[in-house]
Amino acid sequence: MQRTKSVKVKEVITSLCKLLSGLNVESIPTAETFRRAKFNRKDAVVDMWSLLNRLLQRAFALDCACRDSKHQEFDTQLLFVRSALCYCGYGAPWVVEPRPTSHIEEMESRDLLLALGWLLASGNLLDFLLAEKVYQLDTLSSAPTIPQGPISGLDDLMACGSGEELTVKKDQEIQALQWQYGKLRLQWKSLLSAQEERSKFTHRVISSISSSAVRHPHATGSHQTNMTSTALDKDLERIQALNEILEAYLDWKLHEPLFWCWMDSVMDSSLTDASEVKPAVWPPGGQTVTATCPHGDKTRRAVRQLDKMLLRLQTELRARRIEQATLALASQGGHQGASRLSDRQRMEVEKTVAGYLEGLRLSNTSAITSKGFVPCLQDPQPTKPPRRFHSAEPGLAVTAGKLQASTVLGELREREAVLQWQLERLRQSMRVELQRQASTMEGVILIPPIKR
Amino acid sequence: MSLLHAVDEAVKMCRAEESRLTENVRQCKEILNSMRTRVTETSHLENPSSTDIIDDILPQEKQEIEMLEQVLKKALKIRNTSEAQKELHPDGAHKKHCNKSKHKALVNYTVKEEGKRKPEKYVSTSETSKKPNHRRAAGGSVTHGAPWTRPVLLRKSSTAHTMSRGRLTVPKSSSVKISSTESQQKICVKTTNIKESSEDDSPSVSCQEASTSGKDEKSTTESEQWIPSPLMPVWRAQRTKQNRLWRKVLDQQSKPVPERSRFTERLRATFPSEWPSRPPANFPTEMDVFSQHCLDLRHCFHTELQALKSSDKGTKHEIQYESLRMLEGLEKMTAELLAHIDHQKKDWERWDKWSSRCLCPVRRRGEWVDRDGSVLPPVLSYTSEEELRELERQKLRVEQLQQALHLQQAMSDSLAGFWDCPPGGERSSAVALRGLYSLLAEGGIQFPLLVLDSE
Repeated sequence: MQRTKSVKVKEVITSLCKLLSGLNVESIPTAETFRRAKFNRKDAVVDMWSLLNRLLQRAFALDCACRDSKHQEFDTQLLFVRSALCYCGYGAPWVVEPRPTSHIEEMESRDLLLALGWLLASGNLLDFLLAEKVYQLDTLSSAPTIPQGPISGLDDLMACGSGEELTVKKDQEIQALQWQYGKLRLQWKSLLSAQEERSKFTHRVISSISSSAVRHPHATGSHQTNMTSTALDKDLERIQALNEILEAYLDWKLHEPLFWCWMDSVMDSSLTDASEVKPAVWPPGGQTVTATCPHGDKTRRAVRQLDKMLLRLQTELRARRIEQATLALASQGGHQGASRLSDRQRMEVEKTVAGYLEGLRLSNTSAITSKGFVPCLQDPQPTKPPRRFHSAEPGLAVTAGKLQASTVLGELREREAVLQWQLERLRQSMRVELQRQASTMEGVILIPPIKR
Repeated sequence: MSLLHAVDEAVKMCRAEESRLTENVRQCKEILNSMRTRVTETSHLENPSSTDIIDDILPQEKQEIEMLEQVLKKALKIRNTSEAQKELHPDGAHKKHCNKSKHKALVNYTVKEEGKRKPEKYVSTSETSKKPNHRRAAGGSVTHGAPWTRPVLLRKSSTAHTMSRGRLTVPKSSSVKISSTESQQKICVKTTNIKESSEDDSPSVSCQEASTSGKDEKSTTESEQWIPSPLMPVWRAQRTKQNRLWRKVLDQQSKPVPERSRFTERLRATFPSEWPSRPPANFPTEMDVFSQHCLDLRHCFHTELQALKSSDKGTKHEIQYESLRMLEGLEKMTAELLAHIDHQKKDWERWDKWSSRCLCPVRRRGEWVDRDGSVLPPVLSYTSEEELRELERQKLRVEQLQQALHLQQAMSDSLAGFWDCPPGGERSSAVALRGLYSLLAEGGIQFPLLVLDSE
């Protein structure tokens, strides 16, 4: 019984190791090392440590220019590992309260094993690595776009002041901005056309997966007869590699429950051994400062700024709303009869406003395509009844990660409309404002461009 | 980041994305091209329908071939005065040209390594004597019956020319229509431009060149027979398997694993009691989202105020009422946002106080925040090419609009301060005003007209 159990455990751990190696994590320890770590053997420390370090480096990066975590010094590595583990929510004593350890031998392999367990269990590290692999190996997949961080226009581009020089500088800055913006617009145009071409070719490749007809290669100018067959070769290799990884993943998924049961047993043995250690006191007060990183205040600043902005906005909104309410009430009260809003009108207005606000909310969520996707040509005659993709709720359309193009298109069009509306509002208000400014300037008449 | 820098970054990102897309397109093109290989066809590949085609095409082509021969004779005269290499070209042109027709005789061209030619359908000549070959060919077209004209014109030796250049010209020539004399001339011109390796080498070279992976596929001639690459079935099978496996992966991934949650819960019990409940690594990304939301609300508010100011007060009740409702809605959303981030902010501040003293800040690589529980790309089923194109176009369009909106907001914020300072000079203000107007009000596309009224 014990024998079969241990064999099973070995099998389970081996499937994990196989998956990890498929995902390009280097030098994975053997299943035996894992088991030795469970019993807190010293000889497993180095292997477990390097695995943990490597996995953390795949998932996280230091956000400061402190020390390069790739250095072999244990101190640097320890700092990185502790930071990364803390940031992903791990709060074990050895991470929270650093012991004055600077030798790798002083680490406990069981601690490392538990940390590894946490890393794999919380968050989606394996899925993340798998997704990376898919984008890398499958030419047809569409990778997600990396969103640009929020741009703070409040960093004053234009310092206030007087003098000719400053004006010239401002002019130059505006010109530079105009130029750059024009470049950006041009860039988008070429990006859109590149995307069109890509869609076309992606579709061709996808349709040749299922079609039996061999298509003529249009005169694409490929004149390397020698090389072209190897392109198919290469793609075949990539897909085969990907299939192996997917199979390893499915195998792992099969064994996963057993793995967590085994990790439970690791925890049990850890708790029995260290029964007197209680959870660390956190946050520790009056601690000696060990290593300060001076670079961490980006988020702090952002938090403060956001706070300020929100509170100010709230105050202004409240004040204006009250003002508006009294105004509306007064005007309604003044003109009796015909000029009062009917219920129907009210409802219409409310509906419109609700639409606008809903749009605002929507633009704040991530698009349905933000994770990227793997395109697949649908069979014109599905063999089994299609899933209910056409339901009204967009949530259901994402059943088990499967999307229907028509639903996605609908959502994207909605988003486009909302964004367009927001943009147009902003521009309109700018038009009004600038025209007003122009009217205050002497000797200048501003004629806005004709709307095309 | 500052405005100019942000626009710079955006341009860079666009460029990177574009190069990624073009690379992808190149890969797809290569894959598509490698799906079929040209094959040297012997008679067993002929299809019965070709005979009908022959009959149909013959009368038409006879004429054209005669025209071609005349042209080629002229060319030959010219070529005879030039280097020996170029003499092969008319023959090659012939061949390419004739290949347009799917005459079965055309397809029989196997260039063996030893350079032997099939003697069946034409007079075999040595490669070195082009002139007599050509004459023979020309003669052949006259003496032999129509069905044989084409084979006579086929010169294996001229296949050689295809080598490095042939591959260039062959695909192009394959799109040339027989009936256009223009194209004939084009071919001739092209062939005269072809530089060749030595004729002696050409057969073997052609063998090599045309060969892809196996020995049996290549033909140096531009045979119209294409067969699917032998890798195709394997590739298809693997791709289908991948689709299947991926769907399975997505299914599996969405299933909860209770043992895993139990483990994490137990581990969490060993953490300090005040430990943040959510991983602090998520916080910066969430902050970005909140900041953006706040900016949206703020701008919405300002534009609402602006709209109110510009509309006639007191006359349009609907507008007043709408404004009121909008303001109420915005206020509510702001309050919600404040409440939402309040709790997280406290957690974060407590965490930050401690972590900044002994840890380095760390950020997640890539988009790893599991907002809806999954980071795996879903399978998107589409029904037609047009749908896929439309979808990807829309996706890009949404991203573009989002970026434009953010930039617009940032520009409004930073450039609004421009007018608070006294303008330096009338002239420069006017220019600046024009620039600002175009950027802020027209998205840089149109410019206003400024009339300077100086006395």
